[in-house]
Amino acid sequence: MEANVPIAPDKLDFDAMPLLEVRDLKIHFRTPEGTVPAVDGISFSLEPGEALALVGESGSGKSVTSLSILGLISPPGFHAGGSVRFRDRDLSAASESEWLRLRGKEMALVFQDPMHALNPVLKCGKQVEEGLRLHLGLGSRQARARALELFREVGIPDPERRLDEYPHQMSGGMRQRVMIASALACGPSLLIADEPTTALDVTVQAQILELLLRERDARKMGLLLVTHDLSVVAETADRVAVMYAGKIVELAPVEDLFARPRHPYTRALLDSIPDLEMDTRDKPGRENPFDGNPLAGKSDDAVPRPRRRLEGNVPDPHRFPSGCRFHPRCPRATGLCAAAEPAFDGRAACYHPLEYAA
Amino acid sequence: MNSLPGTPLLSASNLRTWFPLRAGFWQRAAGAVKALDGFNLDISAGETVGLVGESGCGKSTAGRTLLRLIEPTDGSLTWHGEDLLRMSPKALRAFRKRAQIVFQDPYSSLNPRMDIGSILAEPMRIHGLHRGSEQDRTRMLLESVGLLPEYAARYPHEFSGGQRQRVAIARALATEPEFIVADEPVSSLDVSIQAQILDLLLGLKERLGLTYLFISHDLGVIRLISDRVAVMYLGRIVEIARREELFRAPLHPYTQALFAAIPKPIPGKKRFRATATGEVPSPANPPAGCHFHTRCPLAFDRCRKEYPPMTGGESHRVACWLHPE
Repeated sequence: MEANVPIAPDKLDFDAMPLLEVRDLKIHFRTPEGTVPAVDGISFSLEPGEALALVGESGSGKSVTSLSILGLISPPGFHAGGSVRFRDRDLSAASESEWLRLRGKEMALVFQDPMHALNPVLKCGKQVEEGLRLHLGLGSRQARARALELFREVGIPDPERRLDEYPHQMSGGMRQRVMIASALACGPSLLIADEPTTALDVTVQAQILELLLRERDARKMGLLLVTHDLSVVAETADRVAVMYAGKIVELAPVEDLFARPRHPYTRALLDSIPDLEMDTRDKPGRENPFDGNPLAGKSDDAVPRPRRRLEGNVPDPHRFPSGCRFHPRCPRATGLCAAAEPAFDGRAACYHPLEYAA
Repeated sequence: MNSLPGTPLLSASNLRTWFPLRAGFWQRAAGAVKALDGFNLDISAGETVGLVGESGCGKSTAGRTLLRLIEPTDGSLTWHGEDLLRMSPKALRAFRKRAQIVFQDPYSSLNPRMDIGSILAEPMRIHGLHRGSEQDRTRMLLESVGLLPEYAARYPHEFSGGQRQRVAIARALATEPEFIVADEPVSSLDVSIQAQILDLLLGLKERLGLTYLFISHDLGVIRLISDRVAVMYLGRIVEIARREELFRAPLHPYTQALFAAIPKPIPGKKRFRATATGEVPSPANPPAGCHFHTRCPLAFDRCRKEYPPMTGGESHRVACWLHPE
């Protein structure tokens, strides 16, 4: 796509550097009860064409992280330290006009709820054309033609008619396709999808995830997927960062994370997935009974039950526990965990990580 | 209440719940949303029936209609063999005591101005239970759902989603029900909390001999808690079977599509099988014949013309022309 022109004019080899590099990022919120460290020193990077998942429960800081990458943190939230680099640029120094050029063009966002993210009084086609005209300077005929192509690309049936429909005339899945079309319109090199399928039914969810991955492959986009759903992660991500109480507690390639989680919190999250199959976590390579012929059954009649329980709740950000923030809920915690915060060793931040025989 | 052995606790046959659609200046009837359209289900004492389906399939309407929180348009409904739709007001009040509901959203289903003690005492007061010993009973209820008795003096906003859902469950237990409809009770909770609440529901069932209708869109959750599973599509049950039967060998193409669409927590195989194309049609204007035929990869002529009958034995029944007898 000719639209994908980097804003830096000099000839840098963009493929040789990470698309996105987050270093020790801190986003805090001022509240009447004190400062809340919603994101507290996280680091990760994302390569072009890679899908990285940020996983966590509510309040873990995953959505705040994604908003801060787009420069969308507003008071009472503030940038309390660290840096976000996008290609060769430090975004913490970006001016508002630079942000306007970046957002929607170089980096785009797909929200969870397409009903609230689309303008209800603007025809869907116009909402996609808007970015094309603003960022790429297309005329209205060209923009409409391109919007039509995009609608077709994201699998909207009867695209010509749909261009002139309003969001309320569409189903949730169709609106999410419109939002994805609008996000893809200017050929972004980074797509952030924040719970893109949480509001959708499973049969539609499968269609949307498939679409996101297809576009990622076709455009070599970096995809940052923010989600609470580990099953979605397993099927879409290349690498996974697990967040807990504002920190990344584990970061690993997806196969490794699922087969050999190191942090006890990751293990607990995996154990609490209500599983369609039994014992899959013991035998990660096991055949899935619904692959291929769905009628080819299995004979295991045991009652499926998660094996271990994570007690307690996600901590209150006003009163994060000392040391490792997971220690009050952790079955492996010792006095050390309460006393000092474990450093992130490139894989996990834990004094007593789970060990596996080689 | 006693009933003949073999009589289901609750039995719905050919239930229809239609919501009229009005249009134009005079608000004339212009069709109806057929939320339930020929819904049949027997629930036996002591079992957990999981009701699964996508949004708009009518599963929540089914739960509410079975409790007569919504009046059905047509069909019959019995409770211990008695006609629930023509019950005396007194008998209906007795039914209300024995059949309760837990809602999805513990944020909007608890009154923010009432402390937990009052929330739990209200159903007892309405039904004239535990007069004078309400406080003891409240404490017991809190303990039975894993909360501290001191919490009775606190307000809902002081609790997390999981704790609120425990309060909502305690409220449902306040009148000593035998039947509870749980409508997506864990859908708004984090996964680690979901597991805690499901454990609680399973434990309470065992201890108190409860019967559940468990409504969810999440097959993983349904599999964990159900004895039998009913799959709904556009106002009807299309397949119902014992849990292990259904998960081993789903027969209806819709059930198969639903299973195939669920992402599996096993990485390494990027395998979306969007076997059902398109989206659920409007329940105001369901397709002729089998309602699923518009999305079904296996549909043939007959599917487009006639709605298939329910066939099969006690342990596994399906409404699909691929399984005509």
